[in-house]
Amino acid sequence: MDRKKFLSQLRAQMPVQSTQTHSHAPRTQRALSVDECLDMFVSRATAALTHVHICESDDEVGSLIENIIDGASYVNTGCHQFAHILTNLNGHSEQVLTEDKNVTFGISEARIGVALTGTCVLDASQHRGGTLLPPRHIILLNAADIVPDLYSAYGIVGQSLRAKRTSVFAFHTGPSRSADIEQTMALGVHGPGDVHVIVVA
Amino acid sequence: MAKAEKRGAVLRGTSMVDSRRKIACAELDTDDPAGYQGLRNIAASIKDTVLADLPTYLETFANNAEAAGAKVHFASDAADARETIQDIIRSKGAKVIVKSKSMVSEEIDLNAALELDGYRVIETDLGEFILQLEHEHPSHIVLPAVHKPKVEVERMFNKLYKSPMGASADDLAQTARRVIRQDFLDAEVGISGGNFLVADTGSIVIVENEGNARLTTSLPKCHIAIVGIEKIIPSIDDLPVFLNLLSRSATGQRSTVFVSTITGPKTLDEPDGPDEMHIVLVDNRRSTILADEKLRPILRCIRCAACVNTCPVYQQIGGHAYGWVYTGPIGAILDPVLLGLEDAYHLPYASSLCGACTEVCPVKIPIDDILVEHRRRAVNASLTGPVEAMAMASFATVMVNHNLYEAATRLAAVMPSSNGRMSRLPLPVITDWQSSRDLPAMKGPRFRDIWKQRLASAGANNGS
Amino acid sequence: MLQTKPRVHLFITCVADRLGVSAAESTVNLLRLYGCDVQFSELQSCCGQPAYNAGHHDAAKQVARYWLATYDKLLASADDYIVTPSGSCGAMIHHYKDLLVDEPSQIAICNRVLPRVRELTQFLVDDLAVTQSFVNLSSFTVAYHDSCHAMRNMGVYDQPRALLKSAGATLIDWDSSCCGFGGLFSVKLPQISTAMLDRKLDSVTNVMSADFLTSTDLGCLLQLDGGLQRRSTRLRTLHIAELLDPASVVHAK
Ligand code: SF4
Repeated sequence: MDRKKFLSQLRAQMPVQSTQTHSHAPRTQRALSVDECLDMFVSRATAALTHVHICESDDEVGSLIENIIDGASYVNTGCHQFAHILTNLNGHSEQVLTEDKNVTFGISEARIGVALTGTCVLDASQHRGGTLLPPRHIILLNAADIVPDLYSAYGIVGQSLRAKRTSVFAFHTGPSRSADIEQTMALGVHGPGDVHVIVVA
Repeated sequence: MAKAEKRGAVLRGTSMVDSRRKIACAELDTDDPAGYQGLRNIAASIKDTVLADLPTYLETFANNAEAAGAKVHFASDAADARETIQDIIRSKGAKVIVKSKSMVSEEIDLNAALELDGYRVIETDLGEFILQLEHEHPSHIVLPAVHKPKVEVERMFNKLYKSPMGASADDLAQTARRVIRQDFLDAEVGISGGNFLVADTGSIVIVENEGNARLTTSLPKCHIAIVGIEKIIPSIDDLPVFLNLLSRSATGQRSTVFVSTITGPKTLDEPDGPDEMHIVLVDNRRSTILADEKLRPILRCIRCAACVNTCPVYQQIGGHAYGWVYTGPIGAILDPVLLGLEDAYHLPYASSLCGACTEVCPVKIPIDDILVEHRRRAVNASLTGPVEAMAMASFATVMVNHNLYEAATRLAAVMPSSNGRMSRLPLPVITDWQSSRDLPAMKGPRFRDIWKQRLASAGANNGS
Repeated sequence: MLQTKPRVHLFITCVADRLGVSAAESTVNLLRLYGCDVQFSELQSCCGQPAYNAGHHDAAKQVARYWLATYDKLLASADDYIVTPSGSCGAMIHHYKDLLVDEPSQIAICNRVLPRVRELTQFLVDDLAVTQSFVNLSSFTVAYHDSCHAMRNMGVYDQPRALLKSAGATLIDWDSSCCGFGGLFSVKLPQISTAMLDRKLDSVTNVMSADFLTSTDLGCLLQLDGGLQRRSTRLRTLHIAELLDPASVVHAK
């Protein structure tokens, strides 16, 4: 239906205009120190069935990734911050993902971590298919990018959207799951069933 | 399949999710500065603000979404919505359409229309996929296949995909993943629902656990989102309030596994994503609810199904007994408007008015009051029949007339009884109740007789 | 405890008047034991809930107006209380403001009368600050059933539990789900109502081994008792007033 007509019909149906003002979302975030954020992130992400690792150096990250992927194929979905680590990986080559065949791991980079929910926020700079199609997913997260809660996280998303459009912000919390078969949890239904988050401190 | 088995599955499934909800919501008292009850108030008030000025918010949303490169369509009813979507798809030369969960698409019966057009339409949500194989409809707005015992799925997957009997839930899910994966890769069009429309950024937000909605909105070159017009929130800053409440109320999770905030199609410098994005905003009688002050709070609903899971009636009868898309308490208040009171007036009566739904609703919809309001309208429209009307009229006459009350209750005092209990009352309406319960005999003195005989004077003796 | 003797006007309810005589009598005894001046007007009848819940609001309004007129006349001072042994009926009274919203004169009465309405246990605990019991229930196990309306619409949850505990009773933790009564609901949809009842009675096995099943609501107790009559159990259904009243049959030796 024509937009003008739709909206004017709707306006005609509206009750007398009330001048209601709503109580706004609490913009105050949970006060958590940097250390508390990290601890909280680890415990909440773990509760959501994410494997969380903490690394201190690039070398440590590199060898951890090598350990996890253990010779399987992987795709770099668009890591910039950590690109240098991936190029140094021994024995593996990046491949451009056209479909999911034969690629076991997607390796991505999170823009934000959310402590209270154990969430990693990926934006559209990451190849969407690469973060979803491979059965296993490794997400790199800078410890300094962990914010306390969803309020702070969406604060950043909002700012970012207002500055420059990004087609998607995807909040990932643990492996893909379903309880559609008699409430029994099954992992990896469509998205990755095994998720590792490497927090780089 | 035995009915009892289904009822067992429904009761177990809903009770389990309900108890998880309780724990997760209670945690908000420490996790969120506003606390659980505070958040409910804020969420309800944000929704009311939007509803009070819905056309303006819709316009803002549409402008911002189009500035982001999406195309926004407005559909006044089910037919309009279907045709809008059919038109979009026709121009794509599509063969395969993948869908992620959308209750609105059920409401407008979209799949049937698309299949008639010759497309292959695949529901990708595991529960919906299972139901689609058996041409069944969801019985629950969040747990579509909650009524389905696992063994039924085993049997079906065995027949269709040679999956072994006794396969684990994990194995069954992997089978479905394999089958649907190819469809994801082949599909030219992806159709999704939307949990929220964010006015100030023109984004749609989708909440899910499987990743099928992410795939549906990422792989096909054309993404169509169908969303009810009531799903608007003013700002992306308001979103956390609703996400905190929605995931905890729906499944008891702190956050669902995936939450996508989608703002337009893929940009030029992004590696992948749809080239085209359409948002179809559907009215389909929502404006009728909007115009009706008593019913308007229904439009606050975020479809979390907390009311469904906690409902003792739903737990017993399951969703299909409601006969339409929206089931449980939310269905009982929504369906009479969407379908018309005449066709659905019996739904609001399927409630003991226990109020459990209202207590758990994250946006504080007074569900039990609205159930009563629908009943009132059904009575006013003479849908409940003359016998009941007469009975109620004479009930009132007796209760407001002292002499009649005295006579009526004294009469009841001399009604027949056996062994001190009445096994059958000589009233047609009561016999059903008594088929499974005994009513104590209405014999002997009434309280007011005893008061007169001994209590009044005893009070006077030790009185002030 | 209040200084002066509180005056209490009973709203005994039509159900108790006819089907819950001993509960009603214990209500009187209990209020007197706790030092109340108890009044009962024979003009009272029903709160109108059956008609209200069924959607017959013209009938419900008639009864509501009658109820308001009756109690408005009874209230001799602004400190008088109206106490009912049925939380559900008490909750109905609080709906009057919505029901009669178009009638300013009735709303004026509502504003005077409604704030004085209490459910029995709520009155004892919240207004009289009762902590002492006149009975000893320490040899009994009690399953307390939450009446939905008492719990959700009147805020009755802790009070009955506190009273039972102060009497020494062992309380069984029972889920708060509805017993399936719902007035006309149990008549219109008896199978569902019965299934809810069975689930409630099945929900905790040790409920069946309790000595007493109690509640603040006679509607629920009728339903629960009706179900128990068809099971072999020693469990007895009693209104909470009967359990707490030393003169009731429970405590008769
Ligand atoms: S009515 Fe409330 S509880 Fe029920 S689905 Fe809607 S938001 Fe959730």
